Amino acid sequence: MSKIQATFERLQAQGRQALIPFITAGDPDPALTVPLMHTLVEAGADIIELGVPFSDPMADGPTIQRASERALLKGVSLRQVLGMVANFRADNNETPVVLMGYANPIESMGIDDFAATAFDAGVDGVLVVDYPPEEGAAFAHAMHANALDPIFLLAPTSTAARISQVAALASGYVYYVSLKGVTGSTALDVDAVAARIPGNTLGYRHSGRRRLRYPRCGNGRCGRPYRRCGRRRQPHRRNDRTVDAGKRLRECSCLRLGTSPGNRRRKRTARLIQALPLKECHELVDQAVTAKDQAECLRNSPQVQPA
Amino acid sequence: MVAPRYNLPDTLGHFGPYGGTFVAETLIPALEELKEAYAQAQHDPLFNAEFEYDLKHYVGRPSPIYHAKRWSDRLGGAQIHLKREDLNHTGAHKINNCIGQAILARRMGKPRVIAETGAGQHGVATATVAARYGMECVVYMGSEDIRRQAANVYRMKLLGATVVPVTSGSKTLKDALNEAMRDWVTNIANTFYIIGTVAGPHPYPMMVRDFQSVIGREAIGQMQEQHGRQPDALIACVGGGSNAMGIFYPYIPLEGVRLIGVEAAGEGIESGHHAASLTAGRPGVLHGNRTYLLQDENGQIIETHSISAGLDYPGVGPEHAWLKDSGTRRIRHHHRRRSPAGLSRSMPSGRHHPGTRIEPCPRLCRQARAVLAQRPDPAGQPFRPGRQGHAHRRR
Repeated sequence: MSKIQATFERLQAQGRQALIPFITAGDPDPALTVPLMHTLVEAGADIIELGVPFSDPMADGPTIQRASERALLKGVSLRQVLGMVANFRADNNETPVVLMGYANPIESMGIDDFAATAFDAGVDGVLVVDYPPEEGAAFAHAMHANALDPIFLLAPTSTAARISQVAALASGYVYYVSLKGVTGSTALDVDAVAARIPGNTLGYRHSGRRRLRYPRCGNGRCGRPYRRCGRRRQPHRRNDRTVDAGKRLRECSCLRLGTSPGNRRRKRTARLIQALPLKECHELVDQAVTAKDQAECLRNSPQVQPA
Repeated sequence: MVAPRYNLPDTLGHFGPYGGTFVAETLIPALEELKEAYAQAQHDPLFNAEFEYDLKHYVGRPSPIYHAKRWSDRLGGAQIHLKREDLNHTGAHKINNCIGQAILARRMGKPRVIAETGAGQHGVATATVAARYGMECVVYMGSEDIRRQAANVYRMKLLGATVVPVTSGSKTLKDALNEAMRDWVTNIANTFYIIGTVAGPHPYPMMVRDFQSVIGREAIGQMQEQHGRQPDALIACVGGGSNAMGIFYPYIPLEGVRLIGVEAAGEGIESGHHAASLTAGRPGVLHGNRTYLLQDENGQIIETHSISAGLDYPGVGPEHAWLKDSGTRRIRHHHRRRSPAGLSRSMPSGRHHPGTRIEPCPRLCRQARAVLAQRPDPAGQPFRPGRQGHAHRRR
């Protein structure tokens, strides 16, 4: 049984839902990532999603794009991210770590090489945003061969056929995209999400529930993890405090986390956010912005062309 | 005719290992909808009749094939013929594709179109077509390109389009494409994304090629009519590669014709400052398809360099990647360094050739130098580079 699966089963036995924060590896500084991961765990994170920076994060909004740019400016590569996970594993062998990123850095490294290295580093699952099931079969097999969970996305618009396709490849959990648009978007329609919750609509009731036996996690405002573990539950409408938490985080702009509404989850998220060294992060973000401006000034300054 | 018959892409949009649909799940429904709509339209006589009518009466097709006689004499061998895509309405081949996609958007009931643009030529074509069909138009353009191509930005605004500056990443074409994708995924219900080149997720590379292949189909007929034979070689510049695919595609079954693509080598391949993805890149995944990409050793996309904003793109259409790899020996992709001196030497420009009065453009310059590099043919057989849009002449 994979560490992710074990975590979900433990939580289900306790009647709890998973809290899965996301941070971009290497932002605002590579040296801060591993301590941040430990802080997240101490503050109640059940699983950590670690973003692998990419130059062209098409499916992400400006917050995560800026986080990626800052990390890339510090020269963070996929191999380094794997090194960070290995460092984290030196002190924590329980909390599952899921890498989230784009296909090209992985293909550049080679899928098999990546899978083997990721397993050695202690990674538990990998979510590649631009691998839909029709292009992700080879990747999923390489992951399974190395005892890693390939995590796939589902959207409210996914058809029964696609749900089956994903179910055939995925393990660990399935990421349910609960809003239209990119991450961090404010256009979350709570009613629409409620209507689409697996088990709540025609398509899912008749097809998905039976075929999709994995826990489902989702994003939301500020990447709010939304997870269902068997029981059906409507998202709560009054989520003011969650929004506040989201705003605080967006200011920091290096973190994407939150919770689905509900008092207990709100409290857990608030606790988690309070535990983070936000002030230090802000300072590092400011420094990174200045460094980026300087780099751009240098690049745009007229250069003497060789004759 | 070649055997086996060339019938790529497959149903999932693959050209061998290239192409495909590498997008987040949220975009899949939009692509499925588009695939279905295009599959219906493709064989609908009404759709084709409207497309052809607009190409003829709005774009001004067919574009002529012009024998650059004095230039041919000067080069001393091969006879050069130019396919004059610059004479289309809006001044480039881009509008062929925009007309096709806009008619499709209208059939699908989408009142809003979006586009990305580098040099601004595709943006201008999209804005023009949107104005013609009464659609809302939003064009994403890197802030760096907005600065470089101010005249085209002005034209787009004049045509009623909203031009959105993109300040992320390298502030050029690839970042505009990222931003347009984000707009699309947010506004899928009412928005049609008009991609300007033969790249992006399936069905775009196939669809744009099909719309642009009017160039090659016309050329086959015109060459036969004017010269009673086909040229020995076709030469076209390759950025994303839509003009090149447009002229190459109908010629693929004609075995006697060599197909030569020319990439922008900027300050030279060895300098690292270029946009020659096929020559110096390696396969990877970007913007929804697998193709040759300019990337660093960690798989991060690197910034490109070309004197021509229209060629400044780190990828290339997946079908070009396939043609390069497929072992079709008559298809070659060359690269050419930028050189202002070379431009004035080799161009059929007004200054050097008062009789021709065709304005030089860096894209044509590249093709011209590729022609110069060919061994002059003593028999004086016709070469025929595709003449591209004149958007870049000011640089």
